[in-house]
Amino acid sequence: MDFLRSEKMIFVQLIIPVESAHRAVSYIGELGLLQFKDLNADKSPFQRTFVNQVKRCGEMSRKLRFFKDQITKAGIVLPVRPAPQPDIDLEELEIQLAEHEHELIEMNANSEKLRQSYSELLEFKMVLQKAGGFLVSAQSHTVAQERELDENIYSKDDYADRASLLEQEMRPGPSNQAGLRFISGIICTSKILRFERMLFRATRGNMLFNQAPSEKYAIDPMSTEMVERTVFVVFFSGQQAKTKIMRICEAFGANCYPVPEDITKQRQITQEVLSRLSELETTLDAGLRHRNKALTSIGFHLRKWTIMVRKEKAVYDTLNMLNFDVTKKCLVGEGWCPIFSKPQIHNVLQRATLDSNSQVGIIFHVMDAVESPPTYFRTNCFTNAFQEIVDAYGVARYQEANPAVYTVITFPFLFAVMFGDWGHGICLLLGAIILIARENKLGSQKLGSFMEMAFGGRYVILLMSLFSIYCGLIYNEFFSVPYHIFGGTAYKCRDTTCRDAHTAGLVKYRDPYPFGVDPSWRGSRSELPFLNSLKMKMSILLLLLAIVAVPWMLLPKPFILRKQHLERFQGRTYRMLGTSEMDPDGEPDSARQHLEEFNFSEVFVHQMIHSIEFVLGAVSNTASYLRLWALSLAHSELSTVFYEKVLLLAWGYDNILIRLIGLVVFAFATAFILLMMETLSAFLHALRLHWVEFQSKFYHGDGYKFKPFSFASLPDDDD
Amino acid sequence: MYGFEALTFNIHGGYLEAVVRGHRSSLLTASDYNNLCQCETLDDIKMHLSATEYGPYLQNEPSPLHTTTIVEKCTLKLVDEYKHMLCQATEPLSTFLEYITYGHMIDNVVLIVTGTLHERDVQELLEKCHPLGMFDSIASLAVAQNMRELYRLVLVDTPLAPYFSECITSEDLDDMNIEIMRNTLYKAYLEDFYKFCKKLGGATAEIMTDLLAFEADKRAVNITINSIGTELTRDDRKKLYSNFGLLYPYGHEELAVCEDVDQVRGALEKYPAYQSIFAKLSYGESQMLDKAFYEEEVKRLCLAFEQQFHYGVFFAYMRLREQEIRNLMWISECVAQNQKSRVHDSVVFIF
Repeated sequence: MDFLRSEKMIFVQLIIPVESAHRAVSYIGELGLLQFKDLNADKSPFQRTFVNQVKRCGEMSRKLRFFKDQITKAGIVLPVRPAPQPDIDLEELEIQLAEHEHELIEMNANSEKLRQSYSELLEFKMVLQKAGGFLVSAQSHTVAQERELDENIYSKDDYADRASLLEQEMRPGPSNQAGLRFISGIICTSKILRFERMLFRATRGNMLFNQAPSEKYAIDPMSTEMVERTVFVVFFSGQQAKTKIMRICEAFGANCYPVPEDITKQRQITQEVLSRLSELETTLDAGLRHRNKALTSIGFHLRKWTIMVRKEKAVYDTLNMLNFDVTKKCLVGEGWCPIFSKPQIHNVLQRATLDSNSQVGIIFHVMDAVESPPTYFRTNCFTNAFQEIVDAYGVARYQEANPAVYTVITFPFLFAVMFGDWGHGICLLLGAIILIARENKLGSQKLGSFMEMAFGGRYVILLMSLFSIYCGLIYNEFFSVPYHIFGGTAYKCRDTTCRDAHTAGLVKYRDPYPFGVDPSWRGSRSELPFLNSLKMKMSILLLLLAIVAVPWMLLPKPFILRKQHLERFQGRTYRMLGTSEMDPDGEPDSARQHLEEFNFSEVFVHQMIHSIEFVLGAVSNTASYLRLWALSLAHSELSTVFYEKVLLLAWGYDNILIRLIGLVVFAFATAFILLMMETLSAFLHALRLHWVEFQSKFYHGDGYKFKPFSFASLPDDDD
Repeated sequence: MYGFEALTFNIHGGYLEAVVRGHRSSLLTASDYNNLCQCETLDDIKMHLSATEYGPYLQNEPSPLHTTTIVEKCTLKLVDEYKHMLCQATEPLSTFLEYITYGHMIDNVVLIVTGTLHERDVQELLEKCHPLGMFDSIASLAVAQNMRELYRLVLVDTPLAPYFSECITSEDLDDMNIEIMRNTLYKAYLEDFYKFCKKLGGATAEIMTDLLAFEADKRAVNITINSIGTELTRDDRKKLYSNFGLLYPYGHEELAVCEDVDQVRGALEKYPAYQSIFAKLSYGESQMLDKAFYEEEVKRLCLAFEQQFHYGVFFAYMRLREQEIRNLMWISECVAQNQKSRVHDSVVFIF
């Protein structure tokens, strides 16, 4: 494994007999080391060879999604370890899926009807309960009015009689004597206000509207969603108003249920409704159990089927990238693979030929390619995160020096220069160790986006924390408390009373502190200037290391190029003269000829410009590198503030409560501001220093990544 | 405020303009249409669309597809995008966005009222309504018997209420009345929208007045052609034309007296902007006029994206997407009915 250079790639051609094509491609998918080139890029998806198979796979995955949806809706928990099941092929699976879907849809349709009548009955029950209450109160009210009416307008008796006769045909009930009728029903609570307004307008205010919210959420018989619903009773008079109100009810999707006014009748109906409800409930339950059983049995295999269909679809998608040869008996594919994988691919192809009993073997050979090969770095779990950091800026050109190698050390180090505090470093280290210790467990489950990020960069965090501890020791910072780890301080007071320690200063009386900053600097008057100059000088030192390279970069390149050119040119002269006559179009050589017109002064000037650019860049980078100082200053000042102004202040009081509050505030500030926010900001600045100040010096990053056809990297469309 | 949009526009409108321009880049291109036109079945269309932004909306549809499903799902996508933009918008952009839907609202009102007149089921009619033009009490339109009731019961709550002032009569509703109502409402709506855009000022006013003027002229021509040979009098016809646009006022005078399509053509050819439309048509032809107008409209809508810092892009995007859905509907209908030779008759390429 070579970390600095990407893998050597070769362009290969595969000629696969049709009968073994599917198997060969799926074996290659298992191996995952060959990137196919799309040879049909000009064809639209449905003009390709295996479009029908792709469609069938799409249809099957739709069915599988339907099952999954149904299973989640039914609230069935799928077993983690699916039952072992004999392998089936795609055709069988297709038939099985169709059967299951048919069965499920039928069951759904049956239970749908039952459920609808069930929720209708449930609504009726609610209307009966609520509206009954209104009617009782309305009745007592009307009876009282009736008496008054009878006494006062006795003379209009015959009119009232006629009216009541009419009424009796329509709807028997006591309140018909007043010519007052009602409609009761149930409606979504969200619509009730508009409903009432509409009724008011339609009847010109000649109506009485009563409402009561139902206690629990009810299922809307139409949409099978749980919604809040309200029972209403509208009192009105006149036939025209009735038709209008009925139409409004219809328009608003309100379900009307007749409620008899007679209390005994009401009770009777309620009884009936209740008994039918319980009947329906048992039927529904049985249906539900049956359905759940079916769903569970599907659920056993669901995961396996989904993976299988996904793989099949990927195989056919890949087969669609291949071309038929002239005889239509073979498929021709082209692609990139790393050199080391050649024997493996060879093996796999042979196995595919054997397994599919093909008479003809698969031809696998290397070709010349015009375009530049993809970049492929083999990474392990440690280098992966660092490679990602570099790739986020740009994928390395083929065989370009890989900055990720340096990033492994420089990135955590630059981070630590800003985050130097060995207390905070230890906290970070604990977090990283936890992540690494539970690697196996965390790696297999889905994490939240933040956790996933932290987990992906666990080794980066580990190195960052180790370097932070190192830099923290140099700065002698531990939550901004100075420690005497490496022996005592080199300074002492001028006299025993230490009166003038803060005015005249201390005197040095022995060898300097062996490692890092002397703890005596902490709290002294000149602490800040001293540390600033230390940290600034360190930042500039890091920069100078880069600038030292200027003359080295300015001079040799033109000379090296010239030497290379001369060597090549000398060897070529005669041959080129010879070929140019015989081969006037110049074939592939013509491109090289152009490149080889070498002008030393031009290259030199070019290189000069580069160097000047570099020096100018270095000046502006000085400011950029000073961020190392600025951030580490900010970090240490912040932690000083939290330590002195929160923790020490609270400790000054002799009150357990205040101390506790101080401790809690300090802990939270440390965890969230110093550990999380500061980590992020230091990370960000280290990132910038790498991308802009470091990589822009030498890194082209204009390659493209090697994306092999691999089942392992298929997108997981579970969510 | 003209000329200073660049300074202040992005405070409130920047995010949404970026969003709408992002949406615009997902419009189907000519190569997409070429591929779609080659499809053999609706499944092919679904497959092709699954590679576009429509993919997630169509992926869960079971296989024997219908044209209506495709159109419904594509419209759903537009509605989702519209709702997202409306949620994010602040004044006056939110009002502007709402204005865009009033046209659909008018169409829906007319659809429901006509439907109930012919005693169709209200639920069935509701399904046919354009989802962008839905309002709360739309279903209760079925209750009304005449214009006055229509207004008093339902429309008074909707944004359409002010447009109704000209057509409140106690006449019973019939087909002719409803059509006149639609056009009167549309006229009032366009004039109101025009005024609103003028008030916004700046590039928005400049671009939107252009687009709306074209819309008004297009409607004027359509009204004229549709009313030839009906009992609509010249004065009534003239009343339906919007009081702005390139044709206002002299073109309207001429259109009002037109008796056949060629006279309309004669009236319009005096306007250089519309000469190009008629140049493509032969004399006496009115079928292709719609397509010609759509093509011209699409061209103008696309141009709206050439400027920044104005609301015209939202209007243009919604219209372009609607045109795209019309295209998809036409293509799928042609494919479903095996009329592939006619695919190009009505498809208007956007890019």
